[in-house]
Amino acid sequence: MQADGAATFDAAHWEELQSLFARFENISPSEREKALEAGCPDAQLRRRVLALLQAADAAAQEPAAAHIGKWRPDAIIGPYRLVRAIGAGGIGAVYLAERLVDGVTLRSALKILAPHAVDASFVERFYREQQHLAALDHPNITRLLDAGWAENGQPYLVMEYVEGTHLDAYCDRRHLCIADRLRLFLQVCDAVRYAHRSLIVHLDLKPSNILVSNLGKVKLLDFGTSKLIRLDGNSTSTVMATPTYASPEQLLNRPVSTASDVYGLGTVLFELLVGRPPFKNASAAARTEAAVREIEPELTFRAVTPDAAARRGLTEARLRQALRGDLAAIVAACLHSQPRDRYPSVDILSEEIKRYLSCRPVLARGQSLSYAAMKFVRRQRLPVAVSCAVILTVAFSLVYAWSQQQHALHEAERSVRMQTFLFSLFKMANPNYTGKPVATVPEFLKVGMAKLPGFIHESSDLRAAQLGLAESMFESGSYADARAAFAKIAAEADAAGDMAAKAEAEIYAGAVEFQDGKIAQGRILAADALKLARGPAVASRIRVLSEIYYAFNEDNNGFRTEENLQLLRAAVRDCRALQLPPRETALALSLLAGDLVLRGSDLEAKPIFEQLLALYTADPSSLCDRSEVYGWLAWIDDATGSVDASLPLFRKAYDGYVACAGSDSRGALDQLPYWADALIKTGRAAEAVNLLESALPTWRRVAGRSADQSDMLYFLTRSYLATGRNEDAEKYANELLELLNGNLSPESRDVGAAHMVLGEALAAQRRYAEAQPHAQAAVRLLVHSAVSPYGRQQGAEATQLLQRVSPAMAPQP
Amino acid sequence: MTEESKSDAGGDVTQLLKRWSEGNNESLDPLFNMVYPRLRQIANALFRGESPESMLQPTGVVNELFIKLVRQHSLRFDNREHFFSLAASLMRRILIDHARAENRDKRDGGVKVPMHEALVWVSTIPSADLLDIDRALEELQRIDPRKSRMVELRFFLGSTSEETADLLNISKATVDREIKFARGWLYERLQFHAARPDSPV
Repeated sequence: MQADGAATFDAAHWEELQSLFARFENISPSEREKALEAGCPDAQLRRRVLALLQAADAAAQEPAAAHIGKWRPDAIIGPYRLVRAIGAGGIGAVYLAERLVDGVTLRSALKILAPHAVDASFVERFYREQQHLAALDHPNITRLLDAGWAENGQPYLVMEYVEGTHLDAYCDRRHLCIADRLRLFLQVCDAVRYAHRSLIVHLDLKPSNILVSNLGKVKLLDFGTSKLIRLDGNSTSTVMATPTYASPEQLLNRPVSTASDVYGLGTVLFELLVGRPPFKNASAAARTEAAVREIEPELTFRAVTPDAAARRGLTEARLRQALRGDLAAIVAACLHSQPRDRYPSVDILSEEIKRYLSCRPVLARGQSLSYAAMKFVRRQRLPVAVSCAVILTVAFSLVYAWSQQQHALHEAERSVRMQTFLFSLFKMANPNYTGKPVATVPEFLKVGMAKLPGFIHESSDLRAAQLGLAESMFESGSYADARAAFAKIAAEADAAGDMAAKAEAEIYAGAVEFQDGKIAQGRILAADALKLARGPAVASRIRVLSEIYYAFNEDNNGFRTEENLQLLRAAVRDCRALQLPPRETALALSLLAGDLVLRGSDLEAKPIFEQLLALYTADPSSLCDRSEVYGWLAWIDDATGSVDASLPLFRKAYDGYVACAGSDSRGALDQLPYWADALIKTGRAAEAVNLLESALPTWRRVAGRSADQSDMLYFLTRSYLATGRNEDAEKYANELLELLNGNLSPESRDVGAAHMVLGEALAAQRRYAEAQPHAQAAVRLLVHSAVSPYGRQQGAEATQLLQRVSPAMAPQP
Repeated sequence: MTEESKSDAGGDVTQLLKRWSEGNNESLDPLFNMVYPRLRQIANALFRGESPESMLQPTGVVNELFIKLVRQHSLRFDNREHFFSLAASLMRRILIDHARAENRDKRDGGVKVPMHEALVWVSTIPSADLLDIDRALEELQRIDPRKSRMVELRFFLGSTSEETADLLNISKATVDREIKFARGWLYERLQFHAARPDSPV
């Protein structure tokens, strides 16, 4: 039959051909002809179906990995003799090979690479890198031994031969439980951490690159290969990675880093836990689509199957349960699309797994690190000053924004417009004008923002002035307005190519998100601002701002690294060296000091706060700022045992805030609980009760039902306990617990502390049975998660309480 | 921003893609020209130094294609089937284009074409080259456009049967069944062309 003839015939009989094909495809070739004769009377149709079935059989016979076994056993490659094929990877086939050295046969694994994976200098590079690669001397890493060109021009690599099973198969065959799998995974992390310290990334981490020996020892293959793969820009990392396990940046040909290995480890962990890779659709195209659209993988527990559960010795429901919470959070923290959202290092990932294995809370769940850290977040919030101080700040920031403009064209004209603007702004804030008794600061700022374009026409000037106003919105606590304003400024700056303004807007936009508890959003903005601010043509003032906000907020939200602290220290040095304005210098100092407090280095923080105080004292308009520093110094004295010294400092802080922002200001109210605590400690609990009771109505009015100002209730309860007013203590402890339960994670330390004071109040009334569950909750939440001395002390108190109320120990009523 | 320029071409791409999905094959040309120069550069880098023994995984090509298309600003994933089908068609064009260029250089015919893993089956055919596959696929397209689209997705873009089923909104069993038939049919046509290399088609 001629080509066209066959095609025409097929077209005319297309449906019949398909249905006959489907009917007879599963009948063995030898019986097909007979079966067809019975089932299809048309001889021509029969011939076509037979031909198609034969062709389909032949096409299907091609083995999936056709390139394995291209080399026969006994083939000689360089000085090596191949024994047998042992596997295939993304960039080549692997053989067991032998080499005769001094009469001894040495075994190794020889990997034949696809020629496109390397360039002509590959072997040369191997020898150049060898010293570096020799540094990869780790019990969990197989060493690279040799490299060369086969006679037909194909490149090969030789590595240590390891007898073992792929990680996933090893775990499944032994039905290993989750904990055992995690312990094996920790060995993998160890190897990767080690390599990262030598600045070597793997870039192709996957279960088939990880072997486990019969003794349960993990060996990573292919470490160092990435160093030898050609790096000519276009196809670098992508070519070598397996799409199923590749990180988004590899799929998108973006720069790779150790974060790409964190991602790879995440995929391995996902598969160890769930039994399949994170993305079901694993072709290069589907994975690239997911990467482009920043689609995050499914959560571990949603991907559980009965089969996977059985292989882990669990029921489906139990496995799902086990993978909820901490483990889901850990895996997700490895698999974020954006490298900056992942764990910043494999060290931290390892720590998290260890924390999980020892039943301590993990950071990935976004819990605050310690009592001190939580306190810091609260106290970090700048005071909401509802006074003319803020109006002065507005004027100051506008003038300041002005002075930033380097090109001084039309300076006079500008300053006239500026004055006109301020004048009209005050006019609009005037009660006669608004018809309202007093314009609030947020209203004032909003009006200003809306009116600004009418006064300033040059777009970069306008942006600078808008930034000034938006920063005032932020500082006065109008977060929703500030968020909208910064987003708008960032977008306009972006469109205008003004990276400095965009960076500055993103710094504050990030700060708004952090204040609002939107940690992930805040981190993205802070990291982006940092990147932009380090670009060309951005003033060092903005760079320093971006660095300190980035580093502090990372540390403050559980992504603590030494680098961040270094960054803060360097920023303080830069402020001095570059003689940056006092505002930036003060901010850098205060964030550095705050970071040190977070790390428990109170004594190192103290002199920095004192420097800060000196800086503020030179500036008459910084009364609120000074008060904040007094509060810190008081807090440090209190925490480091100098309680007596802390009392006058607390008073200074409180009085200062009352003067600059009012007795109902956040700053003033924030001082009271800690001041009261110090009073209790010095045996002046009655004064503490007076202090807090008199502020309680104001607190109720201002803080309302906000959980992050709940310290007032906590310390009020404690001062009642200290004065023996146990029923009042019980009443307020219940209110506290109720408030927190509606607002905070039930696992947080604050909830634990609330349980403790309620337990104390009940125990003091000899209601031990009622106290016991609260004491237990307090121990569970407070003992293991304690990081700071204060936290540990709380843990000890909880433990003592539990001992007192436990039936065996409790005094009989 | 260092993003690809957010030009007005975005609107064009959307229009072209729409027209293409409505069966207007000519609109593939401008789309192709839009993304091709950079792709060609990458493809060449991948193809360079290729030996007949080796397999190519043109992951880089697929990636670039996606990134390029998605960056055309207003192009969204409203219709994933169109998008993936377009990508598959473009992959086919790239490979064919490359094969044609190679064929011009070496008149001895029998060009060995680097294949995606999914295209392995083709290499069992003696002297089969991509131009033959292309010809056979055109025949298939005339008879059954859906099958030819499936073949492009599976064997040129490297989509799995699950992904293909997902995109075309049919069951995986249907994809497997249709692909098996299409593969047999193409293989049969290729054998025919291989036996008569000069036959006019």
